Amino acid sequence: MKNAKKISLLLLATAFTLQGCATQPEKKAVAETNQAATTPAAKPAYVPAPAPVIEQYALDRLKQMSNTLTASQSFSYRSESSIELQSKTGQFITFFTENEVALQRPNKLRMNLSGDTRNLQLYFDGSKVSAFHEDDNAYAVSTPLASIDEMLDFIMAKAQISFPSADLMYSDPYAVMTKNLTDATVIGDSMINSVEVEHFAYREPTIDWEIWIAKGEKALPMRLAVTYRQVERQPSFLVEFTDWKLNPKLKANTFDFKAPANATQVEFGAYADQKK
Amino acid sequence: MQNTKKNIKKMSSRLIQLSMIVLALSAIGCASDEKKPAKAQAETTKPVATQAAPQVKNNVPPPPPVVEQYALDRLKQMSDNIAAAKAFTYHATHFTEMPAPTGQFLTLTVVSKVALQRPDKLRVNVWGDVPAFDVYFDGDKVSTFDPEKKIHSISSKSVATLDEMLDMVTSNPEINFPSADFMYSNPYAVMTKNLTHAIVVGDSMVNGVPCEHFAYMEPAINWEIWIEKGKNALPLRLAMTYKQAQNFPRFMVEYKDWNLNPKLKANTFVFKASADSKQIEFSPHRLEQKSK
Repeated sequence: MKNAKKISLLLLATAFTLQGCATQPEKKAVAETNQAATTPAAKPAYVPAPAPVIEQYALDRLKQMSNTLTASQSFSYRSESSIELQSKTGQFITFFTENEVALQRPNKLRMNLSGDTRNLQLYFDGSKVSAFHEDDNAYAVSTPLASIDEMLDFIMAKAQISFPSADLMYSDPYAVMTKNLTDATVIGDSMINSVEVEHFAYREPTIDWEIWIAKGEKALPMRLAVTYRQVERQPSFLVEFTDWKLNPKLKANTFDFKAPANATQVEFGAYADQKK
Repeated sequence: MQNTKKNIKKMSSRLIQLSMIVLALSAIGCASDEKKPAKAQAETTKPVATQAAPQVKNNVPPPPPVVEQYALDRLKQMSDNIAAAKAFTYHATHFTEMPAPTGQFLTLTVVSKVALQRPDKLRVNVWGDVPAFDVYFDGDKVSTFDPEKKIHSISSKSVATLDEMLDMVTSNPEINFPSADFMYSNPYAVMTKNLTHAIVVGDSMVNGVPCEHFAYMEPAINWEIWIEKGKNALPLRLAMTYKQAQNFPRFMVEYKDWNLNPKLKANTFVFKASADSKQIEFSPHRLEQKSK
């Protein structure tokens, strides 16, 4: 990527900055039940926020998906994500990244991130998490962490690496995903890459999100979309999941990071500053 | 489940006009909510990781226009490429956002198949999360067909060219049809008409094809395009954000199976109503309402 400097180092962290920008009062929901299209010049009508809607089926399928994931001792998948980052001109630009994920409960995780952003590899070997930037030949190693949950909290809070599908990696995705829900609605049937899915939408105080879950008992997530409602321009990201494997055979060294001899070790937190 | 889906389909069908492909329509009308551009843009060019909670500064003047020639050159090359083709076909997948009754914007996926022959023939088939819809322009009349409801309409007056047909469709502020830009006889002229910014973002890949990523700004729209590298400069992806609309609805299309030299059957563009299809009055602006 030529203009990689526009993207911050450990990037994908945009969600964080953006969340900080929440100076805008929360937008009132615009209920477009009447057709704004018939009155092109009309000002948006500020109607009172609609009452919360919780449709049980939208929770049930999320629970089912969560159960499938938690019941798997290990899993792997690939994902393609689009995220929006603001450029020097003020325009939000859409970047695409790919991620290969392998997870083994309770304490092993491996990720290979590539695409429009700089490549990043993440290894959690059951004790420490290491991040490696191949392009810079630089890596960081954490202090000991007990579980995947703890590791995810560390990575996102301390190292400020955010990855949209993190929710799926926690020991109890359902609990994480429903913690702040105000609305849960069933949208209907759809298709993703020829897979039949059901489409659901959820609201939380600061984000709106949608998920597309494969039909049937396994109920694997096929797509996730999130919009930051309180952030100017309401940036969003979209992740599509492919190649789901539950309880795959993973090589023993999948989760082990061996730093190349000439690689530079940096601090997790200080990494961004130093690379600048 | 089924019911909900039907409701959505019904809801969306009200918003979807003639060549539809998209909504955001309602949103386009709500232009009272314009935001200051480029707020806080200075901050965000810094590494994200170093600042957990940047403060948004108000009253930052908008940055001066930036026009990078290469971003125009490649657009021109793409345009020339498409304009030089006597005919072309492609498939597109659209991600569109439309407001739900809860106020939440929902992401809908719509698929379309396009065949075009210059100067005056077009066929578009649309399906996916919205009601299926077909458009035929046979060089004279424009016909539309809803294969589920089995209703069709045919324009009463003759339409001379694709440009004229596209003008008719897109002049309606309620119709949003971004891919129309590629169908005009001079896409470059249409796409650069209101530009204030044009920048090169960099190299990327779309579905395994190496491409270059460019970003443009207009007063009402920010848009991005991903153009295949090299001589075969074809659009592989288009993304738009409506800046003046409430909630900044977005739109993204991915193009595949581009064929600039297709063998098209003579009847590709001819609409033949089936016996059980009901004809309704043609109106590019109010097709769905009339059908109710």
